[in-house]
Amino acid sequence: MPVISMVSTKGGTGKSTTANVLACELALTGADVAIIDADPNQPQVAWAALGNAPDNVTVISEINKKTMYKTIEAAEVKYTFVIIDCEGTANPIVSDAVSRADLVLIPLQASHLDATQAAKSVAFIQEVEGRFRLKIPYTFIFTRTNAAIRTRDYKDISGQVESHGIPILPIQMIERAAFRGIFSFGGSIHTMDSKVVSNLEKARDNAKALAGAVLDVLRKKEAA
Amino acid sequence: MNADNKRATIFGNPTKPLDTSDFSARDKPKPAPKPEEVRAVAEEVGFQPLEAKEPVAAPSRRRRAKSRRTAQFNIKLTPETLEKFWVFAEEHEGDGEKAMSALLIQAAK
Repeated sequence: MPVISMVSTKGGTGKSTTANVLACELALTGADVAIIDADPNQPQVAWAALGNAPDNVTVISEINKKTMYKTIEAAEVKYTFVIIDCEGTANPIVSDAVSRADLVLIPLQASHLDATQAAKSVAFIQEVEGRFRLKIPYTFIFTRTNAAIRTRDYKDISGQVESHGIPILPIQMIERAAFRGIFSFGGSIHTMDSKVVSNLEKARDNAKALAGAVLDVLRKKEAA
Repeated sequence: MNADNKRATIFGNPTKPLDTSDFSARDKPKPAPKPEEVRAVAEEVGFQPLEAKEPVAAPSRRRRAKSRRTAQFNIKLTPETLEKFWVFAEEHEGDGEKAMSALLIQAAK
């Protein structure tokens, strides 16, 4: 049912990794999950081609601006969760991903470049909400953060975000080899070998907490 | 302190499996604004990719040889002969090579 759109107008913020980790984590509960790979670089398609992808994760590809809207409509009546991995630019496909979303996740690293672009996405979402009298829940999610320390950039940016009343997901995607490894080895962090990838257990805990936090936001939205 | 000295987790119980049984596929697509209307808003507020400008070719400093005239023909002449040649050339579009060709054609007859 829920459509979760990963939106950022900048590349390299962690959209594809977060989308993939979330999809595999939700799939672990037995839910049917679709990832709509709306990035022309087709990272999810490449991931699926590596093999070992969970059976209940389907990657939908070859999307263009003419087919995007209908693709989302078709997916939300077929799959329990639909996760849209958008291209890192502002484009018409992102408009569809925003207007049909039950939750927009805006990943950003703790850098001013990322934060400025994330704010641009929020401005667009708020504009769509206002014009069409919609409520589109959205939240920032910090990605590739340092497990050990909170940088000054992080403190500054998260402070600014909070002061503007923009929600931040309580779970971050910590920078981990396991998350990077997904697109190298295929499969999920649950099929990886702990001899090859370090700190796998911590990555699994992180992924589970991420999915749990996303589910909490979705449930709150349903209850509202 | 508990038996194995582990700190309490802030984000729920990590050993408890996630449950998504309260979620399911929709019976029908949820209503949403028409895509063209949302895209129009995106365009209006500038939420679109920056258009790459067409590259402008730098003006060439060299005049390109379009005539295949690359060989030079330098000979010493008396100014009178040269003057006669250019008078003849004036009758042939003021073009030295055309004048030269015409002279060669006449000479071959």
